[in-house]
Amino acid sequence: MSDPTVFIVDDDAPVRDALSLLISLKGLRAAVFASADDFLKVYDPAWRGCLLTDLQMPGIGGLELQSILQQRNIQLPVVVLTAHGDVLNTRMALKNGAVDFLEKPVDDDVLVDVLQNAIRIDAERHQSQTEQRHIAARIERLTPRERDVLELLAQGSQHREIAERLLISPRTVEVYKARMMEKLQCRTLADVIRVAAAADLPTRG
Amino acid sequence: MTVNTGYQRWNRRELAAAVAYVAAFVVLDWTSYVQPVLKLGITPWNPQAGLTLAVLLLFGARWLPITALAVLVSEVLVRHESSASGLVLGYAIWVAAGYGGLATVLRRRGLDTALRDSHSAVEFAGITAAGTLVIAAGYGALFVAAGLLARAHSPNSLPSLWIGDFTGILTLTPLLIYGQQWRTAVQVLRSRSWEAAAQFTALLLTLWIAFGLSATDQLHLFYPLFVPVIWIALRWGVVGSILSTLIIQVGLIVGAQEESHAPPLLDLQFLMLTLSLTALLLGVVVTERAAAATDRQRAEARLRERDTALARAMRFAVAGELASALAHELNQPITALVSYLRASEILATSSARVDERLEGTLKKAVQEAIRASDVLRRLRNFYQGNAGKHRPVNVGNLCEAASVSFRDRLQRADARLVRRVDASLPDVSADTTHIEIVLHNLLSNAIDAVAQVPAAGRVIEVEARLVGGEVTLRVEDSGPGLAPEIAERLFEPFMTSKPDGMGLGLAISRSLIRAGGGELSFEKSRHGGAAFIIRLPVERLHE
Repeated sequence: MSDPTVFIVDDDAPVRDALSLLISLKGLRAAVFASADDFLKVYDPAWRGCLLTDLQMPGIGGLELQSILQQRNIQLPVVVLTAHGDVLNTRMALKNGAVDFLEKPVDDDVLVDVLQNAIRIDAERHQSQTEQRHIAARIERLTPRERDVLELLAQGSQHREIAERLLISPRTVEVYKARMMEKLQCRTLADVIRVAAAADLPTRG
Repeated sequence: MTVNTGYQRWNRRELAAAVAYVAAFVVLDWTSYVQPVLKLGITPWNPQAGLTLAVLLLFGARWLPITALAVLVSEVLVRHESSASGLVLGYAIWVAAGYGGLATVLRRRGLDTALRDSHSAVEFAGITAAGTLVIAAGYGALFVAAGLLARAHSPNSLPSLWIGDFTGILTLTPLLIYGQQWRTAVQVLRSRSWEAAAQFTALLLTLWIAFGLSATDQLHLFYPLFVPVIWIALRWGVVGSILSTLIIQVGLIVGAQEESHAPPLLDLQFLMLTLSLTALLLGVVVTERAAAATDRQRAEARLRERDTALARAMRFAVAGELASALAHELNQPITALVSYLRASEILATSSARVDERLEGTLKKAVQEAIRASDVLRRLRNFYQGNAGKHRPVNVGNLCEAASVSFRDRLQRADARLVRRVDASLPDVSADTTHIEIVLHNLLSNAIDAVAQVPAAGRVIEVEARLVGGEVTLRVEDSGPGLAPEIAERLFEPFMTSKPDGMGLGLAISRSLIRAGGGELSFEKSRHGGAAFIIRLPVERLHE
């Protein structure tokens, strides 16, 4: 289930049925769960999309579900459904990192906007994580010397300085640099610095 | 310029005050120096004694040397005393020490501030009487020892000296202590200046009667003097009454200056003393009562405010609770309903063919609408079905309990409650709490209603009797009654003629009575106001 999906958690059967119908008619995938427990039991880290949860539920409520997700490092964006006037709980949910809230009864245009936004946030987060993993894998393939050159370049050192620091000739520095850039799939120095930043290496500026 | 007296420096302002005090002492001594006995400084009253004691009470013992100096200067200037300078010095020291001792005792007893109640006034007068007696005795003894005062004279002049000091202190000391509040006094005086003028005129008139109409040198017609003093004391409290005696004493001294009218010294002195004591005690009692009344009013106002705030808070709490429960219960079906209808709209418009899901979705939408209306029905049933616990209830007892709990409110509203309860009433079958709430509500309304008519006509009548197998309880009032358009819709919710009412009292009352199988109705009272009639079914024990 890697297509973006709206995971609906609501204890009220007609509400989740109606919401899932409306959401699917609006062109989004929807999955329903009768309780927070049901959702947590079957959750798969590969799931993309967002969570749409009611705040007031018997058993695990919306706020509690949020904190369980945080403990388990589940980064699915959360949109909370709130009853009219439940300002305090809504504020708590937003403080705990909910990306948005919807007030019952929901306006379908707002519903779709909010859910699409949440799905986009998830996609971006996921993409940056994937990219970071790829970069980490590429850096793994560098030899120690190539890695030294990468780090010094990222900190803004000139070729001659690098040569002096590493006690090799500038010519050799050029060779290491060319190999390192090839392995990291970089064409320009700007690419190198971006990769270094993504891999959390110290960079200048 | 500062002078070091050994224990504390006197600044310029204090020195000026000391000079002013000595000057005032001499002037007071001089003006009151009528009918001296053997030039011994024995005069009808000694206002300088009052001034000295006030100074010692206000500024403390470091003024003792100044007071001794004042006595000395006065002796030399007023009585031209120079013959026995050692004697005069000793006597000045004795008098200053005496007042110092008196001031210390008064301060220890907490009497150096404004006299707040009759108890402290009596204590003040008692201690002052004893203190001045000691001072006068020592003073007399000094002169007897010096051979200046014949022993034959001393029994008469000693009381004169004592009463003179005592009167001077009674009149002047409390006034000077109160003097710190002179700004307030001036404000109050301005607000009632006509009354003050009338009272001042009355004082002058009675003084004229006392002196002008007396044919002899006896003060036969002194009684009228008490009338304005009592009048002023009743209207102004202690400050006014003491001020009035001060005016009278000045008048008496001026009047006594005329040789032809000069009454015997002791007569004059006792009159002054009696007036001073009467004025002080009466004035303090009036002030004390006024303060107590103000305190009571404030406490009552606070209580009323708290009651109102509490009632309002309760009302909002109940309404808020109800609203939030209702909102939550209704939100679920409405959320589902709105979503189903939106989905139906999409299904109906998105394709040319009729989507087979449309019919099912619309059916579900209808179900949700029914669910919403069920929530409302359950709510109504909850409130109507809350019929309470029915037990045999004696209506007479409830009426008595209600009239007891309303006693204070009735008293405050100046309303009379007439209770006519048939002693042989059978019990009714009802929930006691419900009947209590309704009775409380009706009596409360009745008190509000009668408050709109003059106090003399404020009557509330509660009558309970058996009519046609039902116990009938009537709550009637002599208020202005109800306008026809209000009377018509009286029992509808949110119908109210009160600015801060919710308009639920009578609606709730009627539903409570009806829940118990009774009826609450309204008609015009023969007292002119509203009459509410509660009819309750009689308890049938063997059915």
